[in-house]
Amino acid sequence: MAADDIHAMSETLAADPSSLVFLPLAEALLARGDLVRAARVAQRGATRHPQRVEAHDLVARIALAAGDEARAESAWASVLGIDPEFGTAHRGLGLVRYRQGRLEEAAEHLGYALHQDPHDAPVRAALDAVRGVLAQRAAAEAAAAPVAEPASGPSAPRASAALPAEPDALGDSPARLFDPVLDDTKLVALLLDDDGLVAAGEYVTAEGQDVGAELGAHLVGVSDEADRAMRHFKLGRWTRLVIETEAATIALAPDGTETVLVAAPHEVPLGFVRRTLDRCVAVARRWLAAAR
Amino acid sequence: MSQFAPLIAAITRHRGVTACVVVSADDGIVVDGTAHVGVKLNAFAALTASLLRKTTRASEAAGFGAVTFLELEATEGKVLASGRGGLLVVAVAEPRVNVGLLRVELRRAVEAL
Repeated sequence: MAADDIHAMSETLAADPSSLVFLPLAEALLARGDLVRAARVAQRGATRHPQRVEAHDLVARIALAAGDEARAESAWASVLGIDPEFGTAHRGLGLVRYRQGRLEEAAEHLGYALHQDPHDAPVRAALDAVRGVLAQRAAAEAAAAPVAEPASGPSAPRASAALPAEPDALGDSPARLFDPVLDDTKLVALLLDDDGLVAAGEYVTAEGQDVGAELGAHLVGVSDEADRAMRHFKLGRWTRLVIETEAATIALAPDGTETVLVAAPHEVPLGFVRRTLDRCVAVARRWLAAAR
Repeated sequence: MSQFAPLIAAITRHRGVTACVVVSADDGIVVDGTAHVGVKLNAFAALTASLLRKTTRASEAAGFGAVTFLELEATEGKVLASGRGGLLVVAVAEPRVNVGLLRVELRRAVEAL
């Protein structure tokens, strides 16, 4: 959307603060990556129109783009308080819970979201993965049951040898998907869905801040732009985008509707970044295929 | 001959380069450039500048700072871009181009801007 449109919508909203134009305005600001203004417009709108589920949903999506998961969850909870069947809120909460490893809750929300939109591939992949892990856990617990004390007896600890070991559980965590490729390099990798939400991998800074959601939200727009440019240039399908910045090298590759991202500090050779990206794409492809 | 002609010539002489253009980064307007038949310079410049602006916004928002170089690979070609002082040097090339060499040449061109 052009800057003129945003300006026009801002003026309309200033003239009539009760106008619903705040919805497309905040959406446009979000698309441009202007998260501070987007959040301000959306929050004011949600306060003025507290029964508008779209307003709370927008607040949640902007918060998620800004990396504020707690705020996103709270806004989506408001949405479900008004409309318990609002699919986008279930989708968002499901994917957040999935990333957090809160699998039972993730399964519930994702199941609801998939019911609303059976063609939502990222939700389907996440739900299949969650159900797979839950089924493995149930099987492990069932296997442990015969060696446990009888239910009527005193409460004794269950045979821990039969419980799934922690490393296996970690192996199933989407956040750890790329660990075998990244090993102890300084690189990070993310799998982003077509909404820019992190489906797997994680990007935690040295200060302990998780910036994956913010980076994903911004870069998904770049991926769309690359697609558009290549179509126009008639250069075929884009296969890789490497961006060198003042602080890092970022490499992106599309994989169906998803995008794989690898980021590395400047000192990492470019060829190594590209090679790592190819390996991460292969890992993501296998993981998505298994999840489907 | 414009002041950019030598740098454009230095890039287009590389095997596999089909276009090179100097573009205004803010609005995507062509400052100077040359292309093989079939490459529409104006559209190409505008789209590349737009891609670089979006990339820069994303990079800055993520705390990575300004974009210094961009390489977009596709099944039938590559686009490379780098810029300084509000100008971008953009090259379009065939898939077989020597990216390492072209990257060095682009960086050299940007230094000369």
